[in-house]
Amino acid sequence: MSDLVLKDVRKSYGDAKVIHGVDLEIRDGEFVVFVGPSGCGKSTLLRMIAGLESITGGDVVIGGEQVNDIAPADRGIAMVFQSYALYPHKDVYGNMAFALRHAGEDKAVIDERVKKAADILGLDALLKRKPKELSGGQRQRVAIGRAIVRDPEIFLFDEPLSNLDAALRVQMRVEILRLHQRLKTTMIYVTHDQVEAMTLADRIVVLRDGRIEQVGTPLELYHHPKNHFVAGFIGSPKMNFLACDRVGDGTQVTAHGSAPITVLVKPRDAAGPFTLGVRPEHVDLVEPGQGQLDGTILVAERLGGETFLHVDLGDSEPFVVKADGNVRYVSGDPVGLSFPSDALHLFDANGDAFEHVERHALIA
Amino acid sequence: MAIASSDNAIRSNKVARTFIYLFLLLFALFYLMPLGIMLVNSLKPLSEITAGGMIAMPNEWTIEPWLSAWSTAQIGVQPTGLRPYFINSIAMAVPAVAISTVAGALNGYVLTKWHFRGATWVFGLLLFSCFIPFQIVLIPMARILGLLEIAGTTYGLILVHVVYGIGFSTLYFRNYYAAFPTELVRAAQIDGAGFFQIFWRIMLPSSGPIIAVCCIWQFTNIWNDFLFGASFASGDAAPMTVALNNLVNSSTGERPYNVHFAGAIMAAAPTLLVYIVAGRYFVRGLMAGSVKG
Repeated sequence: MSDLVLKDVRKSYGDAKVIHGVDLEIRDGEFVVFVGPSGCGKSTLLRMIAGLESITGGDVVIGGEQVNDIAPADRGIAMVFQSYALYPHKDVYGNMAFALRHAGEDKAVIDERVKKAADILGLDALLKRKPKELSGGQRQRVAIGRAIVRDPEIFLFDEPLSNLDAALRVQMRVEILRLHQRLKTTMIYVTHDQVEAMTLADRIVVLRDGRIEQVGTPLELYHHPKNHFVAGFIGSPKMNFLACDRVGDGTQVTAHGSAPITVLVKPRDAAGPFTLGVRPEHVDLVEPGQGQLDGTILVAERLGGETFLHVDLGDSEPFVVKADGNVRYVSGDPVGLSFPSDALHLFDANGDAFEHVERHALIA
Repeated sequence: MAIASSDNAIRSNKVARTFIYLFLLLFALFYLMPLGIMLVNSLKPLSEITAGGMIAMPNEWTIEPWLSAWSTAQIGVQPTGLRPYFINSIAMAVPAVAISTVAGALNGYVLTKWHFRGATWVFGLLLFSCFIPFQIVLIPMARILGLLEIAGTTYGLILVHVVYGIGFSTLYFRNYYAAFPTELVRAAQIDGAGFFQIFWRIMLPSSGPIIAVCCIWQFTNIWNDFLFGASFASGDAAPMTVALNNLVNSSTGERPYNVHFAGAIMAAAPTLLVYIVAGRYFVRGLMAGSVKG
């Protein structure tokens, strides 16, 4: 039993409020990712769960026990840090054994558990090395090994892959995922990288300014963002936003004087101005005049397999379209845009999304 | 053409190098001269010095002045030589250096890794103590030592030097630990280490260079101090510096310059030795502290 429950958790430094009452339940064995822009409080929240930051208000409950005033070492958690935080004067074995030695564990038990963790992570050959003799990826593995050895109820990861290069990051991401499948332990993972969040998480918690914006599975956040912020944060390249007016019965909008665009949302009373959200991958390119909107190609970014077309619609920011790698557009070409109505998002003046008529097929 | 010009460059380089080494040699000789003259004169009979041959090599080599300075010369009224005072200085400097270094390390650790309200102020005040002239505190310090009943003892001197040393040692360690990754401390906390365990098992093992810097600095200052030694530890508890002064001032009749020279070298030897042995750690430690910031 290692459910984690946060009840109205708050944090302030003097007068500065950092976390404004977070409520969250994390089930045993779940992989939860905290994601948000810098300064949103995600790392602070993680350190509060770890016990490295005091809790100003509310409760942190692990496995049914309130742990607000319990020392980090006694909470049944282990943490992996961004900078790895390996003890520089100890070798790999010494790093992994530190916590157990400290707890006065039997030598044979320590040896067995360190060897087992080293085996899981492929560190057997490196046990006698000092951290400075290891590569970035190896250091990160040792840091994870140090956490595994403690056999925690909950793993906490604080941006563990940020210091690695791109190729290694992808590799370690897969390793962490496989580790979770193997250990089936609760994991909480903080990142600002939405690709990491989407690929790793059972559920994602999107934070902004110390508040939870939305909690849900990756696809739920992608297809049914609750608001303008989540919609813009999840997905890459990010969602395009167009100022629009509602027309007709409230499920049609016009943007930039376009033909009416149908959005499959449940109509409700809300104050404008409204915003239409369109993901770059949910736009069809057509001949000028054939779609709902026309524009001019500013830049074509060719990635080989796909092309990002930046289209000028007269706004300050270009409208980005994700197209096939073989499209022939060049800068200055006119283009027509057609919007499939089932993949559009509509937001009111507060940034709250209108609920879609139908849930996406992949989400139960 | 190209070959000729590169040849030229090498030749002018050689000329420059010769000049550089010449200058360096000249300056080295210049700085070594006083020590050389002291050494030469401490190894010749007094008669040769009074005859006016200060710079000349001894005609007759003798270690008599050294033996005299060490164990029989008149210090004040007692013919004890410098030996007991040398021991006094060791007994003062070693604990004072050790205590002020450990205290500085502890201060630096708390100031950088365990933030508390007013930490900046506390550090500011500690730093301020580095700039207080010694003379200002003589009388209040004498009163405090009197109240503690350790006036005139080596313990009193240890206390004075520890108090004065903490400012500098805190400065060294605070700056060093400011560059020390805080996540290591957090990781150790999660691994179950407490305040002092983190200090002993995580911080100190990584503090080699700055410990060297701090020890050299403190040892040099404390060993060379004359004012506190003369003010707070007269008589039998006097440190080496005060005893050297007494040696030079208390001779009757003819002044045994050769013995004075030997005594002066003895007084300077420990700090010289410390620099020769640990000098490169000193430079390395200073670099480590400054470059990392």
